[in-house]
Amino acid sequence: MMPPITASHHLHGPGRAAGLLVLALLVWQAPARAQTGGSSEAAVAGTALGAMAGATFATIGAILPCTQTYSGPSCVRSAAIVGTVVGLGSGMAIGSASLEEVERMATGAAVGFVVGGGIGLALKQVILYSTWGDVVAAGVVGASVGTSPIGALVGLGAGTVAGLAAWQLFPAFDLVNAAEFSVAGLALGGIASLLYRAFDAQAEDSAPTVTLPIRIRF
Amino acid sequence: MSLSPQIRSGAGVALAAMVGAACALPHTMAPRPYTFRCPGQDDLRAGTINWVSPAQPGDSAALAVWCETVGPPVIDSVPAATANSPEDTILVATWNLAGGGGDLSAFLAGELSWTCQQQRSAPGPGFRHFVLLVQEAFRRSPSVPPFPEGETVPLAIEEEQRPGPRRDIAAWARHCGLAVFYAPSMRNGATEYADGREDKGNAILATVPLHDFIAIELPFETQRRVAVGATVQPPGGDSLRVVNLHLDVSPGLWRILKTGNSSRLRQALGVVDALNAIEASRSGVPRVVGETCEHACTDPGGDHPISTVLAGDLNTWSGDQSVIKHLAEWFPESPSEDGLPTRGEFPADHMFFRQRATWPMGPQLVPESYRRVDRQYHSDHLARLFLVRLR
Repeated sequence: MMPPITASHHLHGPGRAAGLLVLALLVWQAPARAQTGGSSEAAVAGTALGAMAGATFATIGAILPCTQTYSGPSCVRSAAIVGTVVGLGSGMAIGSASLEEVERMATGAAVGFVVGGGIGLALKQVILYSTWGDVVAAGVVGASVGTSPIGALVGLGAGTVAGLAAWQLFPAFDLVNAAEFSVAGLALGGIASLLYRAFDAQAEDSAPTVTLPIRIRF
Repeated sequence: MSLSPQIRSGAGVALAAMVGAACALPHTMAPRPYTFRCPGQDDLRAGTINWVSPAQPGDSAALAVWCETVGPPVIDSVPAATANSPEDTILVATWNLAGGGGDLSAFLAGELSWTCQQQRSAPGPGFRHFVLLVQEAFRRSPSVPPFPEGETVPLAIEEEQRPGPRRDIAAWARHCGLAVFYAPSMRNGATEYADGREDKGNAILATVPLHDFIAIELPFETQRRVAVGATVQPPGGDSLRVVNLHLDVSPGLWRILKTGNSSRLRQALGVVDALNAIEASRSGVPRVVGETCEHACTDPGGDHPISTVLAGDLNTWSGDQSVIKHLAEWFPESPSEDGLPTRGEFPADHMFFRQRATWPMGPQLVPESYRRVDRQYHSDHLARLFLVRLR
């Protein structure tokens, strides 16, 4: 028998994700000032929904292209971090400006979670080794789409059409690339929709202010 | 101002998703001596097989459950007819046999010039000996324990109907006079046959004696997978290690999202890690228990005491995937990736090579010999092969 040998890989650093979580929790605690049409709690809810949607969109959009790079999972993680930050900022801007918009996002997320979870549940019956975690993950993807349904679906459609056209036109462009286009379209459409609504909300509410819970002691 | 219930629930789901993702990110794996109560323990005690497994508790627990369902490995290290004439070149091939679907006899005759009935090579192929790395080989035996169909006893491989007998890997080896090392990964269905039950996994068949057997349990993603390795040393030639691996197809959505789709990369780097650790332990530099590395601890371009072929079914859907790029880095003398499909539209099967870096230089790959076999022989995969110059 060989002597004990140990080696290991560390493909994923938890630090960045934990940092984001801390940031999200800080925002959760933030006593943001009520805005015109919004509230501190609406800002918090918008932030959380935006962060979830941004992270999910960026992750699913990055998986196929990133898996074809040397960095692989690190590339996906970086995209997820960028998506989280963009979604977090957008959600905060939307929530601080419009309670109604946050309610629409939350309702869409709830409907999307049920629809996505239902699809996940149906797939669990037919896909070997599908777990309850996969059902929840499908629900989270559905919830993310639900926060920005129009942008995500328009993006999905545009990506699918572009991917299929490229598949027909270019021999080197295969079906996997076409699938990449579809998913990337969904992700970009969802994130673009979040950004658009954030800018739109801020334009309507010209002087948004969010107070972060930072106390400086002397 | 109070929030409506839908806002609270939406925010709750969002935060729960973020917490889940944050908790699930870390992954480590660590090869270690085989310690589970699995078939093959006797081989471990006797030192016949060098077992290496992940040390991550989650991996270990899952692998332990799966390995209870399979039988012990099969070893017949000496082929029926061993040539004593010095050999310059050996052919290494990899092929997913698709259980009993692939016609091994026809493949050996058509591609490797080996006639099973006569148990010898036809004249003039440019090589006399070969090593064939087979994935999805099955074995039928009473030694495979009875288990009902379930999560750890997957369905049997769907096989194409073909003429000729359906032999298991041990029977093929006997019939063709080949040395064999087979280590099962999982069951091949739960069916009870008159002569036993079936498991499936990776095997090495060779016309030269096999020794220095290695079994590497891959980090657990979806199913238990065991990579097998052995060393060949044809008469007059240098030693060559061959390693056969078969990676998972795809994990579930949850695992894809939380790991950034790193399943196959993690499994492949686990094999690299295990090989490097074995090499390090034999060179008198054992790893420190609990040591953590960002990648396998040895430098990819560092000295390796033995030339190694790593090949198998990586289940990749493009020729650019991370796992191929990483393995090419660890096996720097590998042939160029051609991206040709070997399973339907997908380039699933690949071969890698690294040369012993110390003088005298070890066996060398013949790069122009790398090719895809263009007949399926009733399998659902096309094979790949190349020549290795031994002296």
